[in-house]
Amino acid sequence: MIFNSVTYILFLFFAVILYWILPLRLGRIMLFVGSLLFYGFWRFEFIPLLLIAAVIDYWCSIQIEKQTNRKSRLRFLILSLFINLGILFYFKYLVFFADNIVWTLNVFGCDVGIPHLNIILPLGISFYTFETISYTVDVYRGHIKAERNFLTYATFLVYFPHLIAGPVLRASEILPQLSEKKKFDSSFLVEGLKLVIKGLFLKVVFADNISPLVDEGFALNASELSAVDVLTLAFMFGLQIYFDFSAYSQIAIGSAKMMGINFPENFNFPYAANSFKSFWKRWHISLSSWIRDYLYLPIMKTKVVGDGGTGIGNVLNDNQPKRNKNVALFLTWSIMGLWHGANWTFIFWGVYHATFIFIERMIDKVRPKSIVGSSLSRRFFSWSIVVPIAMLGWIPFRATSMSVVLEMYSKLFSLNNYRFLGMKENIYIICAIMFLFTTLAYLYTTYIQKRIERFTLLTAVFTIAAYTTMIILVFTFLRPISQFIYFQF
Amino acid sequence: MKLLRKYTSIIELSASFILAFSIVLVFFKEKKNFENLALGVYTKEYFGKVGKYPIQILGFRNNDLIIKGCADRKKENQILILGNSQTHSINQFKKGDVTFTKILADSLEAESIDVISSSVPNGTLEDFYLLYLGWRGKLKLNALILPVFLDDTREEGIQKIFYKELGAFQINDSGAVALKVNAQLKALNQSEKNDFAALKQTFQELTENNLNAYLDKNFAPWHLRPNIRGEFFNNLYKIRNTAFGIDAKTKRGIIKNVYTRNIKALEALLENCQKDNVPVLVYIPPIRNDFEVPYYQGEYLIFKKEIESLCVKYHADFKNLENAVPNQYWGLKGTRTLKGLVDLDFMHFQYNGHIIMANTLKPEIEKIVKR
Repeated sequence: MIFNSVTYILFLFFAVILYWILPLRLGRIMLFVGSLLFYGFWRFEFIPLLLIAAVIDYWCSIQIEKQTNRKSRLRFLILSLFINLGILFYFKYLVFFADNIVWTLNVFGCDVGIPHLNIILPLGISFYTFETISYTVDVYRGHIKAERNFLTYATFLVYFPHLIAGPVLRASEILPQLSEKKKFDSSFLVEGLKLVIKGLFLKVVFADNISPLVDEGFALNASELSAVDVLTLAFMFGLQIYFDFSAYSQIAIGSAKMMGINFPENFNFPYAANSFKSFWKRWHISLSSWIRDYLYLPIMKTKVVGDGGTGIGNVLNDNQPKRNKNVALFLTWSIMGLWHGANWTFIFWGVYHATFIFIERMIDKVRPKSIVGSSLSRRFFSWSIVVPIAMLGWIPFRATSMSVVLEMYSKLFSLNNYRFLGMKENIYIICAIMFLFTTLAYLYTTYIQKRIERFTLLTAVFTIAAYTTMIILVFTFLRPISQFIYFQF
Repeated sequence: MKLLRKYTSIIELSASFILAFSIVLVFFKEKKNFENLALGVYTKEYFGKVGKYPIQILGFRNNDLIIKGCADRKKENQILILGNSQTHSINQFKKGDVTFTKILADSLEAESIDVISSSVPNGTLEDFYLLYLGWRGKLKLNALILPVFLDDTREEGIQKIFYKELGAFQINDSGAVALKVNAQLKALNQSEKNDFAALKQTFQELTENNLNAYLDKNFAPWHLRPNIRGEFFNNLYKIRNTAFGIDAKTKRGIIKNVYTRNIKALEALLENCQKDNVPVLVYIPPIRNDFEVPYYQGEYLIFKKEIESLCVKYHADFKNLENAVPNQYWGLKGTRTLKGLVDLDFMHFQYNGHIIMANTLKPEIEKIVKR
């Protein structure tokens, strides 16, 4: 089911009411069945796949916990990983790998052809696979106890607000909330509803209206674009994907909040970042931390210990050789790219970010201590470098092939390409206004909001004005004309 | 007071909902036609008829009636006039005023010439290319009359809302222009048919359709949504114009790539006409010249020369009619900024202008038909 639809609003309305009026166990059954229904609104035939993942990891995690020796525990962990990653590989990567193998063989003169594979990617598979992996790994690491109640575990996995596009949750964050006694508070409904409104506003008003302009720009022949066009399209898509995905996260967080269930934040003004490290602490936070805990640190052979039940690891021995860190960095980011999509453009996107993080590390090392600081001008200078680079990083994310990516990037390196504009004036104006809007929203939230909160009446008037505007616009623009971008991952 | 503070959030949110729906109901009551908003109150659309059948339509809307009309009248020659809103609009409209298309249709009837017109507001040359190829498949055309505006070369793509009747039509050319137009037509059929494009072939499509139908029927404000969307974009447009000081007199520059793509579409159109043996008259349309034209003179000159040389290349007739309609037959239009009420209209002329245009084009059409 798509969030930006009347069907979802109605579904959420009944789900929330039923959740609060039903007793705990019945409420959980309702959530489980409701979530499967939510998923089935897209395609019913993939529900068994979801249940298989739930059963396997439920069983494997209990087996892991039962085993006393390390080897046996590892065996069940590998079994779980093998099945989960195998399913993911089949649905998401088989065609990509087969195509590349065939291409390589053809280059070496072996004339090989493969039958056309028509594999439909089950919605949300990348997200729920990561969630099941983190669960079994956490049980294996001893950070959390294996859940003995199948219904509770399965409800966590299929819980509709996060099922399709995250946030990528840890079992330790949600399982206790599903098990503990419910205590109704009207603030859950109000705060949750506010987030849902904000999310819908970002999606249907901003993301969906930017989308045709971005599509139009990327549909142009790359050779006809100017350097300013390339930068504009990079910024436009960067803004579109931010509005789109942060909107999804806000609706997810808000929907769960209405049932008194807290999800972690997934975005924190990423385009306010003044370093790449900071960018990845602000963008898709749940994925970044997952990648760190279950990929980057293990590749670096760093030990991760639990922090008393949250499941989010603490680094124990962060004194690894430099070579290990750099290998881990590039490997992790390549996999991160591949997680987003089975295409070289996504791998390139991952390596692009790894390269800039690597450069940043190098600069941090050689920069004299005297200029390491955080004065406003220095932060502004860093921001004005980091944001355009991060935005340009979205080009491989959106472009259809590597040749288009390279052609677009090549435009930036010739002065002649800065002397003309290839698109209609409105696109540049909209891009500038949207970017200004996100920057002002950050400045308001960070520096002004807290200060005016003590003026109760002023805050109330401002809040009412803001929500009235958002409600009118959501009401006006609410149409499932486009999916969320992250659905394809 | 304590209670009030505790429930501030609830009060704020409830007040926002009440206020939002009150605004929707009070301020957006009237249905407006946003397709031709640029015309304003001073200019009126006019679509001529001969007998009971239309001879002038928007894009392909009601094209079946035009075809029936042609079959009914059984004239020897069929002339197609393409164009943008200049073709189907009359400034300072008075009862009894008609467009030059209608005047031509009436005056050429006796010579067994059927004049029909298909126009698109803010039409691009890609629009005209598609219109010609679309009509070619439906009627036996004996000539094509094509006004080419510099304004049209600043727009991009086809105006999809006017082509729904084309169904699964695809252009059978091999060039880049055809590829682009075909892709747009395909998108029109595949995903832009309705508001539920993202739900195609899912169970949710069914529920969403039913819920929307129910809301349309039983919840009055739901009807108003397209209206509010139009009003919203109209106001954004006005804000942009006000902020950047854009009005009718502001010079509009050529956008290099958009211009090139449009010229390529014109070339593809002329090439097709040449292959089909359909004579073409291309003209630079009238523009008021009591004020400086809203183009950069150098660019405007290059544009006119380029159009003329394309006509030479593809053996099309070329006429520069930019001064054909005298200044006194031009008028005003509603402003598209937040300041003032009226602005100069550089695009649409009055009925007398239409008479002049008909008189200018008539001998040209007769000449083409007699060839």
